[in-house]
Order: sequence, then C-alpha cells, then structure tokens
Amino acid sequence: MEKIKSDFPFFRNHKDLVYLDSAATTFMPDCVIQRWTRYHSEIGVSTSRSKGFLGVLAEKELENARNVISDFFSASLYHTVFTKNATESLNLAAHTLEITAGDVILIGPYEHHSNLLVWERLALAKDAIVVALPVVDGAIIYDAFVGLTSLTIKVIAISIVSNIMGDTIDLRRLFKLYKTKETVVVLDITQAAAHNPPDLDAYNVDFVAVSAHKMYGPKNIGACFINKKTADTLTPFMLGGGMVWSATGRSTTWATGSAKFEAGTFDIGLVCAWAEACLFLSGLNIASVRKIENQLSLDLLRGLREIEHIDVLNGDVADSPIRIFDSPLIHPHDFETFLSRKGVIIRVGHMCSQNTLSILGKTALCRCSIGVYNNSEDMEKCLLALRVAGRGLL
Amino acid sequence: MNISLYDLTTYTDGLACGDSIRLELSVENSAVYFKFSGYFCDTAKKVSDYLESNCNGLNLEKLSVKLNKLSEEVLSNKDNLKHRSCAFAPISSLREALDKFMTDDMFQPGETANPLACDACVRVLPINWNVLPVKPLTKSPTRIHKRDNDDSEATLLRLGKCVLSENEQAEFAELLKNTKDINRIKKLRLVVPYFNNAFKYGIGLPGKLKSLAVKQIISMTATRLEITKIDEFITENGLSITAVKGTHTANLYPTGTFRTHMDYDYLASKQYDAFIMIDQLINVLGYKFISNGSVPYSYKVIKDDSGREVLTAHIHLEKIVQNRFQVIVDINFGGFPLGRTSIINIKKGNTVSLEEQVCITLSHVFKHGTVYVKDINDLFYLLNSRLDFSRLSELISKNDLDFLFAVVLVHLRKAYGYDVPVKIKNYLPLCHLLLNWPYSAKAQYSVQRLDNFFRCVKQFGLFRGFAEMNAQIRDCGQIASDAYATICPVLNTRVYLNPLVLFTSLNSLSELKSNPEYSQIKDSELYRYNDLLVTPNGVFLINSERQFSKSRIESDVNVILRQINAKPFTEYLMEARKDLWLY
Repeated sequence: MEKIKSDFPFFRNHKDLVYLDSAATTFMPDCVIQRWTRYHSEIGVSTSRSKGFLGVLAEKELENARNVISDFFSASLYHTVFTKNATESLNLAAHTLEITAGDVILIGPYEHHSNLLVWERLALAKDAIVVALPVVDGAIIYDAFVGLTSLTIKVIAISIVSNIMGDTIDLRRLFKLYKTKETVVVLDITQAAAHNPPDLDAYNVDFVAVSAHKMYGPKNIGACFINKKTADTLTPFMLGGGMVWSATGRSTTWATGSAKFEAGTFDIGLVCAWAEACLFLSGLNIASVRKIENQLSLDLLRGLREIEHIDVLNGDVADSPIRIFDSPLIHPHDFETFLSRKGVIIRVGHMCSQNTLSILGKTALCRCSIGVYNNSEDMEKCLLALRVAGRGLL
Repeated sequence: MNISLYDLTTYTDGLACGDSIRLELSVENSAVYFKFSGYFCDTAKKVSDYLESNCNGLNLEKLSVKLNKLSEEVLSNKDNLKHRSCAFAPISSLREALDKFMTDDMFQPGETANPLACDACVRVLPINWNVLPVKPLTKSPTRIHKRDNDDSEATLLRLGKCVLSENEQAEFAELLKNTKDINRIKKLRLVVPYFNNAFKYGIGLPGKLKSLAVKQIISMTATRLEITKIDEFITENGLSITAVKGTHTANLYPTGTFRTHMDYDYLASKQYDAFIMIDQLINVLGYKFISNGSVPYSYKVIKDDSGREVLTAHIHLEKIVQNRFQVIVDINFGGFPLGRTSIINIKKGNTVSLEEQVCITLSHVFKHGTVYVKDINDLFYLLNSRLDFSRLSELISKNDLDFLFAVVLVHLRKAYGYDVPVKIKNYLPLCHLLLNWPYSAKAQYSVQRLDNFFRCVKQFGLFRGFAEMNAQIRDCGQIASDAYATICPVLNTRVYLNPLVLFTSLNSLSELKSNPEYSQIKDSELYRYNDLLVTPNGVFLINSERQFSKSRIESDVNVILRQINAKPFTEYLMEARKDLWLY
C-alpha cells in the first residue's frame, strides 16, 4: 500500500497525516487529477453543442468515459446518467417515479439522509408511507413485513453498504421477500464502489446511485444508472438544454437514453477523471485491495477492543472497512479534536444518518474508514492517539 | 433543583457534532431557573456551565438581554469557527425554551368525551403550579342529549361492518366514490374496516383512505417487534401479565384483512409484576410517559363481584420507533375496567382465554362515547372462533355482562346475520328499545347509563346505587373508600398522577414501612407522603385541579429520595408526537 500512497499528491504534501475518513470522501491519485487537467487543456468544451472538431472530440471522450464507468460496474443493462453525486441521483430517481397514495416505500435500517429524506418528502407529498427494515438486537429483520398480502411494496430504496455500520445488505433475500413486478428498486452503492463494486447487471434493478468522490474520483460528479427498460417510461427530473429533442411542437419530445436525464452543461473533464479513477481501481486489483483493507480493518478492530475506554459498535456486523466506536468518557467531538492535533483524521458526529444513530441509542459517535492509501502504521498511530486520549480519565 | 419540577423541558438533537442537549426550565416570581443535561462536547459543556452559573435566577428581561449579547459574542468569534456551533447550541436552546415558555397554553384540566366514557383515556392533567392561571373546567353532563350522530355518520359506521349485504356493498362502493369526509372516517376508526371491506368485496378504495389504512397496517407491523421484546420479557421472568384486546383479536381476521390497534394493552394480575414491567419499559426499553397526551398514570378503587374493594391502575407509556411509528403500551392492574364502576375478573396467570377475551372486548365496545365498529367486528370474529360457549355463558353471568351482551347480540343477529348459542338473561325487549344502537351516540349513552344503573344498584342497593349512578354522570363518585382512602378517597373515582422522579431501577420501599410519616396503601408496595405517591418505580404527584407549591413538592421529593436512597432519573417524559397519531 505504501507505493499506492505515493500516487496521491495529497499524501506527498501531508507525509505524516493519517486519513481515516474515506467513507466520507477520498483523495485523487495523480492520474485522475491529470486526466481532468488534460481534458481541459486539450478540449475544454461540453458536448451536444457543436459538430465542430472540439465538439466531436468532447463527445468521443464523454462516451469513452461513460463506457469505462459502465464497464466498471458491469452496467450494460443501464443508461449511465451523469449527475452531481449520489444524492442528486437518488433525488432523480425519486422525482421520476410514479408514486400514488398508499404506496409503501421500503428502505434499509441504516440509510444515509440522502436515501431517507428524499423518500420521506415524496411520501408526504403523495400520501405514501416510508418504512425501514427493523433491527432487533443488532440483526436486521428482513421478513418483518412478509404476510401483508393486500399491500404492495412499490419501492425498495436501499444502500447496499451502510456508511455507519459498514454491513452489507442481503439483497437477494430482500428481493425474494418483497420484489414483485410492480416494485421499483433503487440502490445506493456509494459505500461499496471503492471496495466491492457490485455487478449491476446481475441485480437488474431500476436505479443505482453512486458518487465518484468515494472511489478516488473527483467531487461534483456521480451517476444514476437507470435500467434501459425503466428509462423510457420515466418523465425527466431536470428540464433544460440537451435533454429535449423538440420543444417547438404542441408537446415536447424528450431526448432518448442518458441524454433525457442530463439537462444543462456539465464538466466532461470530471467524467473523464472519474473513468480514470475506475481504471486506477481496476489496475490495483479490487480483490487484493479488499483483502488488504479488510485486514487493516480487523487490526483496527482488535486494537480498539483492547482500549479500555472505547466501545466498538459494529464489531460483528461490518464487512466493509468501517469501524465505529464511542467512549463513556470522551465526547466524539473531543476525540476528533484531540486526534486531529495528533495528525489523525477521523469522522465524528451523526454522519448524516441520525436514524442509524437512533437505532444504536446514540446521538454521536466516531468512525474510522479505510482507503487504499492506508497501511498498518496508520492503524497503529490512530490506536496510539486513542489510547493517549483516554489517559488521565480512567 | 435536582428533581423534575420544571415548567418546561426541551430537547435539542442532531447538531452536526451529535450533541444532544436537554434543558429544564422553571420560572418562579419572574426569575428563570434552568439546568442543562445530555450528551455534549467539551465546548458546549463549558458554555452550558457558564450559563448555569451566571444566568440562573435572572428575570426574563435580563436573561434575554444577556443571551443576545452572548450570541453576538459567539457568532462574531472568528478564532474558533469549528466549535462555534457547539458553543452556540446551549444559548440557542435556552432562547428557544424561553420562547416556548412564553407561548405555551394555560393550565387546562382534562375532560372525557361523554360523562360515562372511559376516564383513563383523558388528556393529561398538567400540574397546576401556582405560577399558572387556572382555566376552570366546565362539565356539561347533558350535552350528549343535545348532539347525536347524524344519519350520515350512522351510515359511515354501518358500512364498517365486516359483513355487508349485497345492497350494503353497493352502498359502500357508492360511498367510496363520493366520500369527501375522510377525517370523519378516520375519527370513527373506520379506515381499516373500510380497507378490509374494499379488499373483501373487490371495491376500489380512494387514495387517501388507502394511504391512511396502509399507514396503520405498516405502523402496527413495524412496532410489533417492540411488543415481541416485551412479551419475551414477561415470559422469561414468569410475570403474571397478559396481553389483551387487539393483540389477540388481530389473529382472528381473515388473510388480507387487518385489525389494527395503535396501543397494546396488558393486564397484570399481580401488582408488583406491573412495577417490574414498568421498570423494564422505562429503564431498559426506552419507553416514556407523555406530556400533552394521554394521562400517564391513574388509580381507581372499584368493588369487584364479591363486594371487595380493589385498587386498579392504568399506566400509559409510549416509544417512537424509526421516528415514524408510535408504540403505545397500556398496563392495567387490579382488573380490566368494565364501565365506570366494575372490573372484569380473569384468572391469574399470563394467558387469557378466548372466552375472557370476549368479555374484555365486550366491555370495550361500551368504553367510549361512540361505538367503534371495529370492536363489534372483533366480537364477531371472536364468537366465530373455537369458543367454549358454556364457559362463555358462565363468564358473562359472573361479570354481569348479560345486558351488554344482549345489546350486542341483538345487533349481531340483525346486522351480521349471526346467532350465538349462549344463554343470557332476557334483556331482549329492552334491547329492542335501544333504537339505532350502535350507530347513535345517544343510544350508546343510554346503554352505558342503564348498565351503570344495574351495576350500582347491585353493588350499593337501590337508593345508594341510584345516587351513585347520578354521581358518576357528574364524573365523581360519592361513596367513600374504606380500604384505599389513602390514595383514592372515593370509590369509582379516578385519581390522576403526574410523574416527578423515576428511579433508575426498581426500588425497595421497605424503609418506609415503619416510618409513621408514610401511609402504606393496603396490600401494596405503595406509600403516600403528603401529596406524593411513592411507588417502586418513582415518585408521583397525586394531582387534582388545585394548586401546588413547587418548593413544597420539591422539598417533599427530596425527603423521599434521601429516605430510600434512590437514584433519581428525570428523562422519562416526552412530548406527545401528535404528528404520528393515526386516529
């Protein structure tokens, strides 16, 4: 992993810094930054505006990049629609769906606010109902709503990996229990993208949301993969330039494919950079990255469990490199401040998922999340700082 | 102030750093007293400590000026941007609490829906500290005669039956096409019966109704797991507590149809087991008493069928799950209320037979001012289940339910085409005089009055019984209790309690037994000390419409806490989540 770390200019500029907040955002390696720079140095324009040589080049770059990203997620059944981030993708999904009064929207127990608030507002507007899979003694109760034969689950909107618990949802079980022909499935794969990117064709769902910045790509770009079968039936979310075929007749004719959902001008350079991030991850061999990250995560878990004043909260459930903990002695915010002074960056607070913290009976906690640039030394530094933080309080 | 005698408690959750600030505020002689607690970072703690030390006891005006000044200082501090919101949180929390205090309603006593409707299901009676003006309660026992259900309401109720004739099915389909009065359907608790009938008879349900029904069904399903935890606790600890009403009858409904119930009723046949369960609910499972909602705790003395005085109690606790669904647990002990003056006797243990469920459901039909058709549907399904009808006859007779059962039976025969092989006393001619029952509030009231009359006469003889019946209509009995005067001076008259301090675990009160300042309530672990009731779960104020002195009550609570060496716990209360009410 040391070699990988040197690929990141951030770490060359902050040699001693330990960054354990990759579940929030990741840094970009040289190749990704350079790809964006190259695009803007050599082409710079957006697509669909010109048939001149720059426009053609931009179009070519965009479609190449789109294919790389689609291939990375095995998403041949989907249109790859570019958005600002996963949050926008989820909003896109929610705002294009036909929801009627009494429809049930089933979400996961540990959703990020981005996959919660949008459904709650939609439910309020349409008189539908949002319900989360319940948790009892730490276990997700998948079959809690089985047997409600005269009700239909209209939407299943779920993150396959929780940004707090780091656990993976058993999608196959969930689909077997609740998915009918009428059910629309919306997946948020953000936390899985850099560690265990799912095979989207195998899931064959309706919408998939992802952000580039959680997988060593740039910020401000993400995608909503929309199943090609579903896409034609949807009314676009954002209206404007580039997504309309004709706006002069009696009725507007929407563009087809991804373009229907990509209104306005966006930065093709970001798409190219994201594609480069996909190539970077593929080049690292995801399986071996996962193995190393998981080992680091286990080392961290072992170390955390040895610290007397720390309670690990997801020791048994996490299968993604995320560890959460708190302490009866130190408020998470004070942990963060202390660790930051020691050159260790962790995440604290409710991590935009108060619903999850409520299940845990907490209002704030600490999270360490691991990326490809982390190593054993980082874990040791973090553990040492955490030990020191508790000194004098026991 | 160490105990929860505050006028207002507010919570501020969800600040980005995860601080959760609880603020208790009290105003006495224009001086503001407050205390912060909760879970907050070092910065927020320092600011809250500063506020407690420097601002407690200031009058409203001075405090307001001081808070404005502090806010400006914090917000203009450019040195510590990262912790600015943490520093600001206690200040804004105090400002919001002050605003809330200034705009809150005046003291308003609770009131029941009609003079003989359930006296446990009333709005919480706030403590009338002497700082608040009193808005007197005006009771009008005759108002029920002035207003009855109109024809359209009767039709709405009738179409909620789980058995509809062909004509009624057509009428139902027509109603669903044209109905605009969704709120009235909701209020009459017809949403799910309509959902069931729409499903059963293949009739389309308007979106709004479907939505309300689905919300109730999903809410009940999502909260059932919470109830499973309670049931497991009861079983594991061998408590003599059993679930009654909706929990059981829901299982009898046909596939695809539902019996929703927003509350889970438990009946403890041993008083102490109820205290164990309350302790588990509050201290382990996170349930709370409610402010601005249903009354949290009440006692009532009633004579049982053998003429023995029995102390009964009703405890109401709630929990919110998923920030969406309300779990309501009602615990009764002493017996399940039957009208205003009786209780249903069921055998001790942690199960209730189907025959006993029939009796409980039957009494519940007559509990409220309006008959909820869902309760009659429950009876229909119960009577269609595998019952021991001779046992049922015995229980009906033992609990003097013959008249009520006859009323329901006449209706079931007429409206559901169902007959029941149970011997009942011949009340049938009387029942036929009750025109429009169950669709008329007047008829319901007449049944309640008659039943109350029969019961009072049986218990107290003709003259005293008649007088007691009239007293009940005025919502206050007139016969003194012999055995339980310490807590309930008058028979059949409910005494309401407000929680002041809860204990962090079940507390032994044996220390109080020999102390002459405390009066032990007969056959119980309950002690009275001035206006306070000490239970193994905590200290409660025996409330009434009269005014209480805060300093006196505080002093009394502290005496009790010292005496029993209990660990107090004040985070037992939450504001009613009316946004989640599905009825």
